[in-house]
Amino acid sequence: MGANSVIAGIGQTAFGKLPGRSTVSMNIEACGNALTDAGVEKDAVDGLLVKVPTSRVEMMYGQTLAEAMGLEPRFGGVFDQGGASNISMIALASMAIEAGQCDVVLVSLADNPKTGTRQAYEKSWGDAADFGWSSVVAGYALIARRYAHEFPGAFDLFREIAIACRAHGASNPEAQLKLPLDAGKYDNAAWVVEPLRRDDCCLISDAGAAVVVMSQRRARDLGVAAPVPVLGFGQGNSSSDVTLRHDLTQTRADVSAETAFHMAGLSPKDMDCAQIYDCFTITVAMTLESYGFGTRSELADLARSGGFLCDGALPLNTSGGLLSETGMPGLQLVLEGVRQMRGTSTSQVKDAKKCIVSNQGGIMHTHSTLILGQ
Amino acid sequence: MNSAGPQTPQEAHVAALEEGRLTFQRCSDCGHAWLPARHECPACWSTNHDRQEASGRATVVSWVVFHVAFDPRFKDRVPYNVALVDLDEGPRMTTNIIEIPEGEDIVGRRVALCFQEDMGRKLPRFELT
Repeated sequence: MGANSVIAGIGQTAFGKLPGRSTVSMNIEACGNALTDAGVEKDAVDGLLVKVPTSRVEMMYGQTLAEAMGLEPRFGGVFDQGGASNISMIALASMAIEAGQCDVVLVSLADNPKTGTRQAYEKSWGDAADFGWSSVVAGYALIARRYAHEFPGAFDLFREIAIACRAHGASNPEAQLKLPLDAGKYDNAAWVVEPLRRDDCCLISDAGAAVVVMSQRRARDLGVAAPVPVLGFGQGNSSSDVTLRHDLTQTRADVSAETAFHMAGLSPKDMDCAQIYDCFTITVAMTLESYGFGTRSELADLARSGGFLCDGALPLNTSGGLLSETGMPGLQLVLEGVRQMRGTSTSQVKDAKKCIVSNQGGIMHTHSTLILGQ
Repeated sequence: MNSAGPQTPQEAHVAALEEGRLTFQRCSDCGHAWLPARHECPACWSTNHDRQEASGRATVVSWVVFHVAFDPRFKDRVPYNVALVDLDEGPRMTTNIIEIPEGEDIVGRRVALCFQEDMGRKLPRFELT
């Protein structure tokens, strides 16, 4: 059971507004920091996987980045699954290493929608554009409305999710938004696309992050100081456009988690903390349910009792998540999972030994899950 | 309209809308009915299908209210709604509901087709029944 790979190093850029920086430049900074963290030289890298930048889609971006890094990777390219790409690439790296295709893989993500264009998040959608159908947030709002129809306690749960993520962001000096949230501020914030309010929505950020993946044996041979074992991973893709999805409040996150839990030989009760993709609060509510952490009512009860806070029963997004640390689509959650396993988080969960991380993309089109251990 | 080649399924759909008819495709092999227009049946990949006219009766699946106009054409229209409805024949489509009473949850409500001239075309909108 489990993979034979580890995350040997993590790196990131500053989060926020980074004018004048290309995605290539941010990817290189993040990769450089990840290699330094792992204590590994650039020459050891023979795999490079990178998420296609959302703000400006470029053909052959993986090769553009490799050229700028002076690398000729044996194994490399771009993965295009939206925010799910990060964990999917870590899984792909692990499988490629296991299959003898490469030894040391950089997995990287950078995007600059804050100084660049937000077009990808605000665009109109095909023939429905004449009805005013546009933006990513509206897709999630459509899901949230249906969810609230099915579960009247929805907004209490959404509010507690936002409050917990913002509390953890406030404790993280690297976070883009360090402003704690309370119930009054949440309830009084403006609608963006009803029923989602401002604080239900993630930040828009320029940012980059990277991890170094290698086998446990390789990490030992190279003397990596703090390798974090990859215990399991999985994917599940609902794929269809949100407006055509058979059941708006179900995705394939359940299949993704089931695959990862099976691979790791673990279950939800074994997890000490959860880093759950929080592009919008609704995403967290649905993911935790799909992962088997409780029914909607049980999750609402857990939230109300402070269960998502650092000292709660299920500490959530302990570096602030997309709602507070950075809106970058997902790799920061893996970095925080690694820090929790190393015991170096700014909201460290006591004796944390297992962490689950979720990534997802589009409007719940794609989903990937990672389980980290010690 | 593509004058250089045969009409695509989407062009046929739009042409029917311009005649005030809301149509969908139904597979001649497996019976599946769908929107938006496609070359292949998404259930069985058959290319044998008919274009049929919808009865105009539908049920609301979900809806949202835009308070921000991401599309500049809508900047004087906020707040405005966009809804998903299931046609009685099966296909799901994106539309607007002509009027939603303040504070009402319209998920599950029955609606009826009502074409409106807007955006330089005939738009298939729905009203609560």
